[in-house]
Amino acid sequence: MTAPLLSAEGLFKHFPLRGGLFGRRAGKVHALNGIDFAIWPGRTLALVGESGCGKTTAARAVAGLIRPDAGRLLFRGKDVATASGNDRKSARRAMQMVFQDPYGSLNPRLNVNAIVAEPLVIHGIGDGAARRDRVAEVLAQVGIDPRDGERYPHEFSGGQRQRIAIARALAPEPELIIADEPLSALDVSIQSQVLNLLKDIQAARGLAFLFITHDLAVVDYFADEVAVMYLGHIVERAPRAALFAAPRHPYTRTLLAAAPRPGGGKRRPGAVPAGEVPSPIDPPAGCPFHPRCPRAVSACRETMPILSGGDHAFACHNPEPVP
Amino acid sequence: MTDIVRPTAPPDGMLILFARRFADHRLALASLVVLLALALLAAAAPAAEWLLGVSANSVNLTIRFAPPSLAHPFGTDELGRDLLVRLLYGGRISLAVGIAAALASAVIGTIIGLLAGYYGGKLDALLMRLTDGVIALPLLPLLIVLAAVDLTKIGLPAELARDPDVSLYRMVVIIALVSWTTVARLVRGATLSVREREFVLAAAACGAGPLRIMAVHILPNVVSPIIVATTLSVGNVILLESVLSFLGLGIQPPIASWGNMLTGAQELIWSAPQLVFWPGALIFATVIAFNFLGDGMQDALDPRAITR
Repeated sequence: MTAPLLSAEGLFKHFPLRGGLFGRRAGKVHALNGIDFAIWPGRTLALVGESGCGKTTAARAVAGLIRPDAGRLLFRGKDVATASGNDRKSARRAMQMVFQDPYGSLNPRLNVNAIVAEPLVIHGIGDGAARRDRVAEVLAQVGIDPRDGERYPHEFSGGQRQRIAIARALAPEPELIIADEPLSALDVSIQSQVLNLLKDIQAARGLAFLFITHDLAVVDYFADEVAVMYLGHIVERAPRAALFAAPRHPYTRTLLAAAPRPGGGKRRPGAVPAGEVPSPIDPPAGCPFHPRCPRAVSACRETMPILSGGDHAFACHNPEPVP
Repeated sequence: MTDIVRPTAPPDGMLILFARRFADHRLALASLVVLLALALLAAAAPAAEWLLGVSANSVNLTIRFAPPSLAHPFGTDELGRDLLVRLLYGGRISLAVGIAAALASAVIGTIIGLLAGYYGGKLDALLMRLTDGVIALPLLPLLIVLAAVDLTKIGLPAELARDPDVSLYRMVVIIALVSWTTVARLVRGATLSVREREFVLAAAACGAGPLRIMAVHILPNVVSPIIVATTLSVGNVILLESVLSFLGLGIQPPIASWGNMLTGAQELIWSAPQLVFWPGALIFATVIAFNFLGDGMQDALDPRAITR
């Protein structure tokens, strides 16, 4: 296999919680507890998990919006989490982000041309005419009429806005797109259009994707590799087909079983994990999933299992049997 | 991609859009006309002097408190000076000081508010305590001290320090130094909320630096409070100038400003009410017009506002 485009090694991020008088440290949110993953050129890694599991924090750490407390983020072998100056800037150019809410991620005071041209301006790519051409080109690619470039975001629907956000991400010719739940704010009918657009773009340009989602149907359609997150840990990481065919971690299995599928029918037994997600402020000792896990053994309460197993890695003391 | 519905109306340039929205706001348009008329009339003060054959500062005690006549359309004041010409000259000073000081304080307040709101933390605490400090300072003693500063001591040539224009600039500086606090607080508050919006994150993820984020992404989204506060403060500044003039620290008689005409006529309010009425009415009209103007500009600047 070739070298990964981006690899995260042991990313940690804890957010301090301040409270009381004089901003005393009242505790911390364990958002990322040492996660590892890698993304290969032209391939898609989907990061899945419930709300609050640290998916978005991971995406923002990769996008350089959050500085991880510990760990390395290697882009083409260079650590970008701690880099500064030119290395950092060129990495920023090569990694563009698409956000969840297309109503919030476009500046309402800028017209579409200015929004899409922004990464070009920031990175000093081309002159005025070249930028205009490039903006028209990417707008056409995402299915927005370049003649509408003078318009403002509020004149577009949610799906069109997300296309504009995608055009902005494509403008500086990135190698990796970080998409943080790019579909969940859209209507179901629009979701498939935007998803197909992303797939077409990936096929046409060989882009790599870090795709954050909680929609397993999307993962099944779009992802090459899948990493399942739970309370700031990656609990299972595998090629898509292997994960869907034979989930080894009990959490992955319940997640897959809970997903609604076309055709309906009854939920399979064990679909809903018992209890609630524990608080990331005070995570349980040992495996974070053990309080809800149907297969928990005594070791789960004491030691955190380590993610291991090569291509299909999982972190479990008592994994699901291979069917 | 055939499934894309294009918005129907043709796209418009920013300026055309702004002008059309502004024109839809009747009161704002009327206010703009009023203000332009006042400014034009004030600019034409020497012409009025020449037409009427009077001078703004020539005293003629034989015609004190003259009623309106052809020679003196608004009558004369307690020293027999023509009221109309003095009002026009006063308008020059009051409008110039009002607008210049309001703009200067808006610039100071915007910079301080943006820095405090965007960077937060210690810088925010420092700047906001400074703002609190300026608000807490007793205004009058401070103004008296500032107005009493001998400009020759800070290195200005003597003839320049006595120039009446310099006293105008001095007014603007003094007023701007004490009145930026409102804008600073408003901008800080608005910046705190805009900073958390996703498009700011998107710009940061692109690699935009703090200067670009503040100038391109935050500032355009906080102009509404700035415009409203600035237009409101034009009125306050005109009044502040009149207070200073009343204390003998602002625009010095015989040079007229609406403020010192108003305060100079205080004891004559029963015997010669027109001397109070006209400057008061002009200050009132100016303040109101600026408020409507700010209102209209706020609506017109917001691209999401529904065109009526």
